[in-house]
Amino acid sequence: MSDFSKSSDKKELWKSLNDYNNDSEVLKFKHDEFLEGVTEDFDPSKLSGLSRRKFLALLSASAALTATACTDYRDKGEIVPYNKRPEEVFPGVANYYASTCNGCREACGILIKTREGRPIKVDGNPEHPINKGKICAKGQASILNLYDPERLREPMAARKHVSWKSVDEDIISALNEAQKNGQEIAIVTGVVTSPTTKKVLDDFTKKYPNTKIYSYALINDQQRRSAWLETYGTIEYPAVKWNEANIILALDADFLGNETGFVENMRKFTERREVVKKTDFNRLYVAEGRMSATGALADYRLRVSPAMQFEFVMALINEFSKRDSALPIDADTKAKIRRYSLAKFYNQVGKEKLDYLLNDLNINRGKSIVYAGDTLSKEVHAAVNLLNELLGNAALYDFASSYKSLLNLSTHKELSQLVDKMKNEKVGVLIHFDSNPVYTLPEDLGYASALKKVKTVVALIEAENESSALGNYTLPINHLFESWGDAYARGGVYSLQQPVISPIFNTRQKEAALLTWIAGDANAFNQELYHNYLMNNFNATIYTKKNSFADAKSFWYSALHDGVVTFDEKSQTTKFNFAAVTNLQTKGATNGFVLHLHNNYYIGEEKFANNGWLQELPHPVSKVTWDNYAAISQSTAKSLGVENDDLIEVKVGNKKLTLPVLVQPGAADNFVSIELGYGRKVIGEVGKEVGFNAVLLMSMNYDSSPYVYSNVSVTKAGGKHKLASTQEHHSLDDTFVKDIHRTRKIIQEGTVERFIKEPDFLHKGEEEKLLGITREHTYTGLKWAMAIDLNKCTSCAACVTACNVENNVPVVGKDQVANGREMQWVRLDRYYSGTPEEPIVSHQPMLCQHCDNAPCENVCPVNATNHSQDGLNQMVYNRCVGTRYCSNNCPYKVRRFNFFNFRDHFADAYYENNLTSLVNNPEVTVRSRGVMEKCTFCVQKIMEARSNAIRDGKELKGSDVVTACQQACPTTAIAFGDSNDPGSPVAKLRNHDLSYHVLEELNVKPNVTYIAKLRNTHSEEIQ
Amino acid sequence: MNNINRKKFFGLIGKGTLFAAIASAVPFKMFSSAANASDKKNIKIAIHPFAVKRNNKV
Amino acid sequence: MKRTVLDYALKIRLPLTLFVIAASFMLTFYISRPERDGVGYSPEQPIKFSHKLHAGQMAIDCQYCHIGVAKERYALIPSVNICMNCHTVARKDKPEIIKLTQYYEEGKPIPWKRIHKIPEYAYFNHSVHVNKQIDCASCHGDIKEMEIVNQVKPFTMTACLDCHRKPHENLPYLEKVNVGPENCAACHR
Repeated sequence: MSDFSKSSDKKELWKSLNDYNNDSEVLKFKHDEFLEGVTEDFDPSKLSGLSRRKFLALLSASAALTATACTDYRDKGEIVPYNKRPEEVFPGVANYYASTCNGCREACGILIKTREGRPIKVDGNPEHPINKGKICAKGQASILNLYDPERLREPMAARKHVSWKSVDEDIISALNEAQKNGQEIAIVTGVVTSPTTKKVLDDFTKKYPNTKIYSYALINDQQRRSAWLETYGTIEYPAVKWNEANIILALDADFLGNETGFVENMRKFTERREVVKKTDFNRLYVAEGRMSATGALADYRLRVSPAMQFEFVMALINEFSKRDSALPIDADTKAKIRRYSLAKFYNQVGKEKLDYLLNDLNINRGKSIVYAGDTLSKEVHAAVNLLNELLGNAALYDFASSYKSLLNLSTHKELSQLVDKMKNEKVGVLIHFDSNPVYTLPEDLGYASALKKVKTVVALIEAENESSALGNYTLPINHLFESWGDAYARGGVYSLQQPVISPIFNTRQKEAALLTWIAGDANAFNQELYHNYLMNNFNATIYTKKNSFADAKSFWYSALHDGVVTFDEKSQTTKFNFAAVTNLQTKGATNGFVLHLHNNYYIGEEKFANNGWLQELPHPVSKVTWDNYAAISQSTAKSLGVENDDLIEVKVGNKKLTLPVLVQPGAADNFVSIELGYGRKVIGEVGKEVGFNAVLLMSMNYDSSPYVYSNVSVTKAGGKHKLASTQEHHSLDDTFVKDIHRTRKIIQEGTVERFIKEPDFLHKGEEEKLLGITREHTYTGLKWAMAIDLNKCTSCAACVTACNVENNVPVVGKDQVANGREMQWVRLDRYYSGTPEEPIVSHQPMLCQHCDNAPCENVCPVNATNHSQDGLNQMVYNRCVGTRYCSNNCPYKVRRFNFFNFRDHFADAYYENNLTSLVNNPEVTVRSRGVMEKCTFCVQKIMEARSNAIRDGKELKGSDVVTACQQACPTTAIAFGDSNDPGSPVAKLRNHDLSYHVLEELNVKPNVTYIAKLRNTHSEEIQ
Repeated sequence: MNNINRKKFFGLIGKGTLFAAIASAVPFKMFSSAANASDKKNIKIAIHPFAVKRNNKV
Repeated sequence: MKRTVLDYALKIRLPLTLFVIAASFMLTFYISRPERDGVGYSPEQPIKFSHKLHAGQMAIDCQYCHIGVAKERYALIPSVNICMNCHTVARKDKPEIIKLTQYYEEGKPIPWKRIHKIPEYAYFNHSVHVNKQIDCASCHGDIKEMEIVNQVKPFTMTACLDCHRKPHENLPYLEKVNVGPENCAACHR
């Protein structure tokens, strides 16, 4: 740069000739950059007041303001009423419809509660004489299946969406072709409880005579039915009058947990565990290998492996025949049973217990019952029938309410023949009629591979499963709430199913699909096809039978309104066939382990594996969620060298399964029990690969029962699989926590004998009233309180599920449960005491105690939780900032914190879609992340009852409000109401001799009273 | 004199990041609310025309 | 005297900061008041329905259209078929009625703009208020004189609690009325 200014004569670049010549004008320009006078016009005062900087500032500010003004911030959206309001819908008021559940073969009557056309809650139908207004946890949670985001929505052929018309045409031509070529048309279904469905199947068989119907269920009662057929000549076995039994001996029978008729059984059983009305207690003996829910309730528990049950029963019969020569056993049979001796069982069970059992059964002849479980062999059932007959216990059989069988389950021979026909291409069309045989049938049958040889495989199902994945046509069917139907599962009771919602997707009633194919024309289908068919069948059978005054239409409507029609059924007289039991024998247990496969508690055979609420329910005994496991005893675990979560390999013949161990106190030694129904591979995201598929261990060639296998080898497999349990594993071996529930009086129990001798034993010797340091509030007027009778609680978890559904409790998943973050507002605690071999199991439902001196209320920094004048501990979600101090202070740890936004933790969260969000109860806030929640005593129901009382001009009474848990409990263990009303059941229970509060010494004054459990043993102390 | 030193430079970057993080909350919330969920096909719920309900007093 | 930093901070920065905080608070409080309590909000509706004509001049009872108000939580805006009870015949040639009939015939519901709304975490129950003989005008103002409905009373929690705590002052026409519930769970659940 300096070069250019140095010398003007040494120019290298010039712009003009003047420049070259160093013209003076050019030099003047170069000297002054600005000519004179150029800036004279510049007058700052004359400039615009708006500088560049100011302009930009104003521009951005106005843009920002405009952006805010773009929306009217006061806009409150729109309010859109109906165009033509349907007469039966009052927005904001719930409607109730009666129907019948199809979660299992019990066909309980249900009442579906709908809001604005959406079903949001299911409860039992009080008019139904069998379940009397109660249903199980599966029924409560079944509502989530309607809103399952992975439900099938459109018919599919070869994995592509097609129209129903084309599918119908294809299948009709395939059926005609199979008929013409002499090929079989096979329909594989589950248990058929609907008479009208049976009629459709019969009509189908009439139209296509090559049709054969096969019926198979993973969990079935076939052994019992075969035994009844042989011993009493009928497959329709009776119900048991549990409420009239003084002594009950249950042999591997989970009749209160998950076996046939358990909802009704629970109610009847607990009629004899009353402490208020002072009826006499029954006594429950349970002889089982695994620790079942029923075993946990036993007064006396005997560890007898299922492979030994036959010997056990025969030994009992032998013992009785020795003691009482008047028993009607012929000499031949007597000689044969002589070899069965009870002495074998003295060591493992204990002579004292056996003596008590024999004595009790002897004294209570005709007023006791011996009951064998569904999974035991036909021979055991026959022996048990003999024993009951000899003891006169047949008086407790209720044949009027027998368990009907509309369609016999297929035998092994029939199923093997089907597979053979399939392999030889003799089956033209195979229809999976809401069934999943690829998963449920034992592998050695070869069903899955034989399916490939069938030309047309059709699946009529709600959601994809293993069987539909191997088929050609996958046709979606209506959910229960969209379906017509009926059920005749028990004698004298006919219940109806009606749809409460029009099919949400392009699904069809499965019977209507069959009817279309019977008609042979795709255009024969209309939405009311099965409705009319059902109505006609109803008129022809039930209406004519009832001989009512009303006309057919009115009778039909009233039947739909009630949901159930009862009629007198001639109970057949049966006589015991002694000849059937003369030659009973089974293969005895040999060396090696015994494997027991049994039903799970909450996910059913295959319908509910994708239901998050049910998968997250803790097992009633082990409290494990989201998994199944191999339950073994502590000594067996020691000898194998395994602990909890270790993997073991269970080998039956040439079949093996690797799964984690759970050390189960009370299990028999050298014995493994595994639940069926897990390990699904073709299912929605929730249920996929949850648990381990124990069906792989089942075989068509079993010794006595398809569920019990001997000569099983169990070896340690190495590796671990973490089981998420909601309860401590170490309650019996960790000395710090051992029996802590007894020393801290969380569980207080007694025996019936002690209670009879001194009714006030529980409160005797109590110290004086606890002093508080604050001025106590007085509660005049209504004060809500709850009482839970621990004599009646069977830990069935219907209350937990009902609470989940009513209060929009989210599903958190296995890893969060492992962190202790399950969100259930009420939980069932299970405590062990005694020894690991003979534990005593105590259950306790634990929920927010709504303490008068609540420790959680004092510590909330933002006052989000406080007390109402009617005794409720309130939780205000919009005020909560998530300090979690309240949960820290709660001695019962019943407060649940939303660690994540469980609804849409991620943008593609499973339950955040416009279908599943319809399951929510509109009266309860859906909580977001960072908010504490807990049981509210169903405050939405309390406020609704209060509003109705004001509308009707009445006073609100305690009995007007029924909480969700109280409504669901099948044994009415939960009482709720006004504790300031001395006549209410709650007040009476509060003042009962057996009442106590948990952690009373903390002086938090809880409002949930527990009634101590009485065990009916022959002593005054709990052993 | 635009000889910014390292401390001031990173300080400025930090302040800018902080501002951007806080300010981005507004458009972020606008764009990701549940109302903007992409699946616009609404489920049609209709009461079944032939359902017979229990009478309830209203 | 030399000014120390502390002196500067206390004499100038502190009062200035406090003033700025106080001023911005007061400003936003008063400016946002109509947004917060909604008073004066009067949006344009898809059909120019006049309460002054129907409820005032023709003296149609509120509960003829708002059918839920004495029975359940929601008061319910009337569905189109209630309007058509009269308007299949009455004034059916007027432009607004033609709009209405068009909605009815097409089966489309009318998207009314909502005026009275409280946040969704509060659960208000109409029937308990109406069944305690509280007049509609006590909360919604003199609807009978409104051509276009606007909100006259603030619907903040303070306003609700004020009436709950002092019902006699706010509802002088009622002879016996109890104090309304003040506990959280009455509205927040």
